Amino acid sequence: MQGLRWVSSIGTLAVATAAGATNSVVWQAIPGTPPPAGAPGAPSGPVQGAPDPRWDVLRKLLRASQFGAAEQVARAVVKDRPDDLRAAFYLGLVLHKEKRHGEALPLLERAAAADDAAFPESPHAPHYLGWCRYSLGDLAGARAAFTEHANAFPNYDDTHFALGLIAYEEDRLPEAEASFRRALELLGEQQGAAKERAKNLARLGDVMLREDRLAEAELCYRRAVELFEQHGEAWSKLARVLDRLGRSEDAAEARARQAAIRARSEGEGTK
Amino acid sequence: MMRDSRIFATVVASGFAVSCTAIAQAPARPVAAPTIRFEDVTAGSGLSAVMTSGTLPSTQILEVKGGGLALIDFDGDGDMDIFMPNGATLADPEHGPGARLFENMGGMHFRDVSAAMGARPTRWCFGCAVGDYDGDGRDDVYVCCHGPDILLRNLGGGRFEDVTAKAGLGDPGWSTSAGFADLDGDGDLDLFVVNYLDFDPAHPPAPAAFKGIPVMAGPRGLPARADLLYENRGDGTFRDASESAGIRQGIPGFGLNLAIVDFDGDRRPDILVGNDSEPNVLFVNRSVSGGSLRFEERGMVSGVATNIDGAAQATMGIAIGDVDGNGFPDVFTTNFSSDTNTLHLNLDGTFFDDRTAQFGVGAPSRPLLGWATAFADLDHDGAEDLVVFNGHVYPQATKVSMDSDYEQAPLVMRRAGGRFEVVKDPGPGLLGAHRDRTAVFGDLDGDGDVDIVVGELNGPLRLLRNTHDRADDWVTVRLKGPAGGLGHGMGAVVELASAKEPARVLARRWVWAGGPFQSTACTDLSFGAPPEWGPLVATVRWPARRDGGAVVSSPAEVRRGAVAEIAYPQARAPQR
Repeated sequence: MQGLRWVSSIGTLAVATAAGATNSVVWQAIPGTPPPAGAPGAPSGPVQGAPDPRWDVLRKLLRASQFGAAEQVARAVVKDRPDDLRAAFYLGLVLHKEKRHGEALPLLERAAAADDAAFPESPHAPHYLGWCRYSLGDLAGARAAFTEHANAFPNYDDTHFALGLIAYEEDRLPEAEASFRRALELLGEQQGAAKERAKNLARLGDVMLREDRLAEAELCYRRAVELFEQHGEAWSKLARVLDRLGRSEDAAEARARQAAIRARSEGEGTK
Repeated sequence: MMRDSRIFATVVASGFAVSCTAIAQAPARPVAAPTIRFEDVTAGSGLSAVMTSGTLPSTQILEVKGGGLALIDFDGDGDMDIFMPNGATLADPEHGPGARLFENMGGMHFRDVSAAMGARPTRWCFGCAVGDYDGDGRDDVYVCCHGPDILLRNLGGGRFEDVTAKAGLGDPGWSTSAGFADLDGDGDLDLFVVNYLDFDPAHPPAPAAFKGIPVMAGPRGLPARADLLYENRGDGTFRDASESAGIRQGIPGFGLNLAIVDFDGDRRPDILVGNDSEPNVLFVNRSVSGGSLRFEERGMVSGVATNIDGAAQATMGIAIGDVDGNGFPDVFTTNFSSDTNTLHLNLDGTFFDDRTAQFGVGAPSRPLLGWATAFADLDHDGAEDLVVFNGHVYPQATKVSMDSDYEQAPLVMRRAGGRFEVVKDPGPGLLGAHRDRTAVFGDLDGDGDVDIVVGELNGPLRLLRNTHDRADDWVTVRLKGPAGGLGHGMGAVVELASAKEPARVLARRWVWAGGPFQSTACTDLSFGAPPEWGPLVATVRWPARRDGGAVVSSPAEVRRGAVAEIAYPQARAPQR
């Protein structure tokens, strides 16, 4: 398995091959977390400090999206091992998953500054650092972190997705398109990657829409909702492009789909 | 107070009058790179008032919106005075410290004339709208309240009369913002009132949670309150036309702000309502000449209801400007933290497109919770810049806990080519973290640049002076509308163009109702006019009227360093 590495994205954790090859395994069970010990592609290397059974507990909780419980464990580890970069990484990761990027940021900055060999997940710390910076509005910092990660792991689809988002926000549309297309290429046609592909297609459609390539935008959005029917954003975007194309009945139908998805998710947030 | 340092000249051409008010004393300065710089001149200005809004730390949603502000020339002397409705406290919502009125004495000095107002609201007030609803030549004020709203008729001499009941107004709900505009073209000002939600201070809802932290509840989970449209009968009274005009289409939203402006170029004012956490609504004016008020709701279809992802946003502040120069008013809105402010380009009068990313106005706003905002050419380089005042609603907010601090500095963005860039040092007046909510933008000292009054939650008003101070790179246009209540040309658009190429519009401003946040956009239109633009002309496109009045005035020469007063044409001008 030499050359394999683990990669993660918001919803799916994938394992991809090294530079030059496409990813071959998509690990669906773990949302945005490192793989458990022994999983294909799990990194190996020297671990700072003595082995701690709480790492496995943390990973399990993350895999189960039990972020509150994971936070408690991570905080306990950090309290016991305040200088442990791996502990800082995990607490930063948990806080990032809880959308508390401001608190996660210094932890992930510490982890990302560490040597690649400092702890097993160290090479991927820049990826999460990139998301934190992006969420806090620091596009330049996010770009730097994701670029560092992409240089180390050029086949990591979610990093290319992130670089596409940043390029879009910086109005570098050809670069955004290339990044989304690269992410889609890496995701391929794999089973289990549908949601990730839909996410990239919806953003690729945004690039098309910005460039008034309405027919191409429609295709992107349509493919996105075909791949992931619950993609409310994509339904909304499809409705918008259909309105622009003068197909108001089709647009209304797409908008109704988005409204239904929105209605189901109402009440999940406070604001 | 009338400034005495100006020279007036009147020109009559093509059936309309232009009065140029020149600044005689300000010398031209050497040309330097455009900069944006403000200083806080509150101390010693006489503008001394605290904007009450509950107590700190806020515990209920009623306390966190803050109040509004208005620029109003209440004494008709040609400069902008300041009105602050003011709030109250949960302990006694009906009896706060009371509204405040400050007379502009010139030179950034103000005199507190609140005590002489006569009718002076003490109820918990929010936004306000300014307009001459009875057509007597004096600007009146509509005050949005938690509890019955209040209409203050300007009697002259700084005195006001509460004519709410007489006018048929006084909806008892919680309203946040309002705007006056002639929506049916009959020559008087109708009124649109934005309502928020039903909230009983005696029975506050249970706390909610944000990012895992217990916080005050709302707006989600509380009952939204429908907006109101009042038709001016022309006799000093209003008729509730909400139902018949189609304003009640769809479900009510948590309304916070509005913009009444002609979005589709048909010379009829349309109404955009910014809803908190719900899609915005766009009421497109379908009223026909001689008929009754009629609107079609097209928020979703137009694309302005949500951001690019189809997500409803908080939509506190609204700014209107022609960002892409296509002649249609674009919409900038300010939003919650961990979201972005949003710029919707008006593509063609029918469709809007979220171009937040294209213009770079999204990412810098992510850690901020935005309120009052405005486009204004602060450095007079010819392109409108952007200011947003910020502050979180949750006292618990910190960068660590909520990715956003409770007190936040203003966000100042300068237009640089095709993007807006954050101005890191906009001067001491725009640095420093506050709990800002409302603001009004206008030339308060008569030097041609846009100054700002800011209202902070339970904090003192701040008077921010633009230090640009040049006499040769600006034009202000003041419209004198047709008789009746349209004195400020509400609904008109002014185009500034090169005198050599009148068809090539260099800048465009709308006289619109609504405003930065719970406040009133200034009706004096400030243009930066860099010398390289050469001689300039202004063209006014007036709103449509039932009587078939003129629509477009002929280009009128305007001078730099002067206020150009452009009157409604006496004779029919050629229509375009």
